[in-house]
Amino acid sequence: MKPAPSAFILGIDGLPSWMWRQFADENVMPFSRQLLSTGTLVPMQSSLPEVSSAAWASIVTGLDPAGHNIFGFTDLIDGTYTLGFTSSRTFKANPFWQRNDGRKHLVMNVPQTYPAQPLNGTLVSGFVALDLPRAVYPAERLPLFEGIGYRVDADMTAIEVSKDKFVDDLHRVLSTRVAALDELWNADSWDSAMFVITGTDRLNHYLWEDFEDPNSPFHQRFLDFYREVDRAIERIVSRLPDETTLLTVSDHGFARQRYSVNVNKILHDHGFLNLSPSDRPSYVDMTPETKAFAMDPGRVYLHRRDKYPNGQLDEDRAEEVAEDVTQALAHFEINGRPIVERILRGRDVYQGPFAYRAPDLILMPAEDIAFSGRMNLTELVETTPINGRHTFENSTFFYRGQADVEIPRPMRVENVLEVMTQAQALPAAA
Amino acid sequence: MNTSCPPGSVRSTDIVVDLTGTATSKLRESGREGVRLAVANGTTCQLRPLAEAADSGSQVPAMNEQWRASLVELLSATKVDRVVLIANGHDPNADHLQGQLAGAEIETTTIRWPEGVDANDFVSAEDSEAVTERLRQLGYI
Repeated sequence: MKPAPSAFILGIDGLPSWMWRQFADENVMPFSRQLLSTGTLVPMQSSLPEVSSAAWASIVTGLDPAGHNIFGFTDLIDGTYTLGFTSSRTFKANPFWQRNDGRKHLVMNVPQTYPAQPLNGTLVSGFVALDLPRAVYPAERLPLFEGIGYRVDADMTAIEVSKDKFVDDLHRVLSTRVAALDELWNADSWDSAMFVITGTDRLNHYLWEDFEDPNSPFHQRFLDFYREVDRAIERIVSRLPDETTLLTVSDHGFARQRYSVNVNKILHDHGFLNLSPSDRPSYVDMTPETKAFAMDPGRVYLHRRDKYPNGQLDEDRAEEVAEDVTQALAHFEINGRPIVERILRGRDVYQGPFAYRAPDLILMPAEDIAFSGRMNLTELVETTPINGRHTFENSTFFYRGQADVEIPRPMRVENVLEVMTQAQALPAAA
Repeated sequence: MNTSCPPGSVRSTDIVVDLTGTATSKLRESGREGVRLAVANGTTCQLRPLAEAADSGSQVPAMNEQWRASLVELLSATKVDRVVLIANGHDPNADHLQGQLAGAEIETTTIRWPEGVDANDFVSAEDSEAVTERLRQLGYI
């Protein structure tokens, strides 16, 4: 058997810290009960916004979005209204496996790492990876993944057939992912390994209502998937000696979603957003009169003259408009309840060379609310099969190691590498 | 040793490794002589005078294992004072090569252009539709 890595980061996408504790205590995840008694579990704060692409980028770089340049799954290309989809090429900071520290890394299924970029080690990309050959580095590893039927993500169309088929597929994907980890673990020696389970996020999005309702016919299927995740955790941890530093992290918490609210519809109805007529409305249809617009999930941008081709908003009026938008959104209600818990200013949140690309306002949703930024303005509350949403609070951070470390309070996704460094499981960044 | 310096300090005995595909002409405009790395058939490294390489309009292709290995071989067979690596602000290929050169104890100076965020930093146009569909399925857009 090859020597174990000195550091192992186990990612469980969308796992709230309270849920892990609850499932451990209730014996849904019996191995986790044992594991949690050997280390420290604390709730962690996600990135702003609390979206997987930005949060995982923060976990692996130690920076906020203004440092690594990932503010969401979509962004506008500088100086244009063209919508771009973020990828590994959008990263403007090194993940820890690209620090050229001489260490050999195994990186599996970390979101936002597609297409795979060179590293000293092996990487298979996570969501949103489109095809396996471009998701694997080095290419010589491709046959290994193909040989076990590895898939980078579940078949999301299965949810349209039935929840049963969807959960079946999540199990299949998890099974091949763990098998691939086993094979790579046996095939080589690694200084560090990072392995992310993403089926938990998919399950939480579509079956959250079934988790909350013990009488749902799918309640047990929800719990059974977490039972399978627990077995995967056991399989991994049982291979790790006590000397290996183990971190278990998630990128955001989760909660019930009842309403998906289109922020652009609100901005339009309050006169902040104006679109030229179009069959497929998009950002390019914004008229010069537009003062503000939103992007997923709750990012609001002022239509500034110095940033956008048709922007008419000068710096001396930006503060006034930001305040007007804040007031409009803060007082907006659905069914007599506010949709916003609080609104943050980008200038107060972000630090880094790409702060100029940051949203001006970040909306923190109220209970039951999720935000979208569609330019199709026909619906304020959109119909969606999704019934679970991300939360900024209560993602998971668990530490088990021999070194005494000081876990920051509040713990944030940007602090994960700092704790690894404290534990001497990762050299300090140059 | 890895340092950062402005392009004006490039020396005649440097090997200039231009990963941007655009920096060489800027160096030439600065009146500096030197040599430039060129890659034949995407696999074999060659050294060419900077002016000739710039005139030919040739570009260093995206790095791959073959020409990375060829570069290391070339450097070991050539009297080179220093490698000047020119890259866009964040280029993982440059980071990787920089690490290799440092490991081989080859003096390296890295010049990084400040960068904006353009279309090349996002998913390619041909993949956009598929990504859109995946993100839509998860409610991200």
